[in-house]
Amino acid sequence: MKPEIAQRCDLFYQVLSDFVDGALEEVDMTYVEEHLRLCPPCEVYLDQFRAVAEANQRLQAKADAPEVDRILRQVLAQWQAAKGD
Amino acid sequence: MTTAAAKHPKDFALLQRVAAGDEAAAGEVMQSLGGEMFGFARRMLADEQAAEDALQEALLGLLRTARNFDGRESLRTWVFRILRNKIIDQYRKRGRDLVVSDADPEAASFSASGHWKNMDFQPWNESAELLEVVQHCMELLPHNQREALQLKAIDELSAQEASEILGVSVANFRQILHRGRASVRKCADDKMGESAA
Repeated sequence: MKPEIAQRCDLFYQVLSDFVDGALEEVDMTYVEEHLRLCPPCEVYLDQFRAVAEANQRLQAKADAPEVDRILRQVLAQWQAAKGD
Repeated sequence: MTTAAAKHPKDFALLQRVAAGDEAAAGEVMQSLGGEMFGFARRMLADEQAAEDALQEALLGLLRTARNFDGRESLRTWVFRILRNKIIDQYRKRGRDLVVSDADPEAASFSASGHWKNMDFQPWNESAELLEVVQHCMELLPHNQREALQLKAIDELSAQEASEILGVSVANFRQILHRGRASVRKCADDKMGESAA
C-alpha cells in the first residue's frame, strides 16, 4: 500500500508494468487512478507504455507450420537414428 | 519421482513415454510446443538459421534427457529453459555480444520531489509504423530485458513460469520486464518524434 503513488510520478512509474498487466493490488490501483486524474503527463506516459506492451503481444506470432514441421521431422529422424545406434 | 509426487502428472507421464522411446509421445511433445519455441528463438536471435539450430538442439536435448524430467515444473517451463540455453549457445557460437543490464532507463528522469524533470510527453499518432518501431527498439534491448518481453508475449505463460525459465524470482522477472518496456517506450518515443518532425 503506497498512498504516495497518488502524488509522486516516480512511484507511479515503478508500478506501471504491474498496473498494465492487472497485477497490482486493488488499493494500489486506486492510487494509480488517482494519480492519473491529477497528472496529464503521466496519462500520456501510461498510454505509450501500454502501447508498447500491446505491440509486444501483437508481434508474437507462431512460426509457419510447414517450416516447423520440417524441423520436427528432422529432429525425430535424428532421435530415431541415435536410438538405433 | 513417481507420477503421484509430480506436480504435473500428465507432463510427467508423457515424458516417461518419450524416455521409453515412444515415437508418438515424442511427436506429441514437439507438435504441442515446437511452434511457440521456434517463434521465441526467431525473435531472440533475429536469424533464421540460428533459430532453427537452437530449436533442433533444444528438441533433441529434450528427447534425449526426457528421463530427467521429474514433473515438479511444467513441461513447457522445462523445455523453454533448455531452449533458452541453446539460444545463448547460438549467440556465443556466432560471436555475438550478450549484453545484460539492470539499468532503469528512467533512473535520472525524476526530481527529488518525485516528479518528472521533463514532462513534455507528446501522444503518439496511431499508426502501423508503431509496430515496426517497437520491433526495432526491442532488438536494441539488453538480452535479459528482451527475454522477459518475449516470454511475456507467449500466450498463457505466467509470470511464475517465466521467472522459473529465467532462474529468477517473480519480483525480479517483473522488474526486468518493467525496465525493458520502459526502455522500448523511450526508444520508440525518440523514433516517433523523429518521424513526426
